[in-house]
Amino acid sequence: METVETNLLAEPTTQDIQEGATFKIVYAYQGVTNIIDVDLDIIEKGRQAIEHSIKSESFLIEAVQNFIRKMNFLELNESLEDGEISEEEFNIALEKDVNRYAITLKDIDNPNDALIIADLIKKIGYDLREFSTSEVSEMFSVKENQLVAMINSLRHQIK
Amino acid sequence: MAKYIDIGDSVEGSKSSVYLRKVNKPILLNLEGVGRFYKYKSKIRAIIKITEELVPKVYKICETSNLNLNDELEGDIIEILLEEKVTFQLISNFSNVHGIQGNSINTFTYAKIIIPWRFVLERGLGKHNPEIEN
Repeated sequence: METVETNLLAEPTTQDIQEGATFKIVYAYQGVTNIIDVDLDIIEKGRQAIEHSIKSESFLIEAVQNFIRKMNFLELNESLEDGEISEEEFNIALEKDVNRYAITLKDIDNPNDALIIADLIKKIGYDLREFSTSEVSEMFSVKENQLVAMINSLRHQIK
Repeated sequence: MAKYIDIGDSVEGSKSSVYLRKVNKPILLNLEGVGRFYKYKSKIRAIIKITEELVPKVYKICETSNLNLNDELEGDIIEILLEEKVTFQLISNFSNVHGIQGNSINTFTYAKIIIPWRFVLERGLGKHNPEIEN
């Protein structure tokens, strides 16, 4: 077995176990003892924070992609109206790669998603625009009726 | 047949007539499990009337939608989802009194009031509701 070099030395110490703590990390360095109490609650909160951050990022990326889809479709539609492409070419372009142009509204499978979306909208702020629920649903690719129902249900739970 | 003017009221039908004064450029929406729709948003004023009911008479998009023949939405800003792309004929200074022909939409139509008339909004906010004011 390979020996790992370390300048940490084991020092004898006695510590009380704090109620609720699942485990403790105790380490000593140059005569100073450090203790970290870890309980399940902290681990769960950490896990939730990481999950929240990953989900927020994916919603933000989706919002940017939907903005691009909107622009792509506007440009395609403009080309049709200006007579640069025919109705047939317009339909072929859509059928060829509909994901470039269409915003897909999906089912919300987790009520926490509604909270994350509400949190993101709050951070974006209302200075640039007062969003309607349908605009928010288009922005984050979720079905509007589900978003409204979940926010209402969460609001009742908080009351 | 009824006229709906409140925020969130919606109608669905297989054909409709649409009267508009101004409309935004459409965007393309794909509703998972439902289908692909062109979404328009009226500005200023719009009336949407169901001229043919859905067969079977079951909602496609919103379970609270009104599905009867001649059900009508009227409001300031209305969002309209159509299965096919259309070019609207815009009508200026139309009114219910004058029988101006609107756009006949021969495809599935879903419409919902986003912003109703001001008096409806004010009624909701209690500005002219004595029961709430007192």
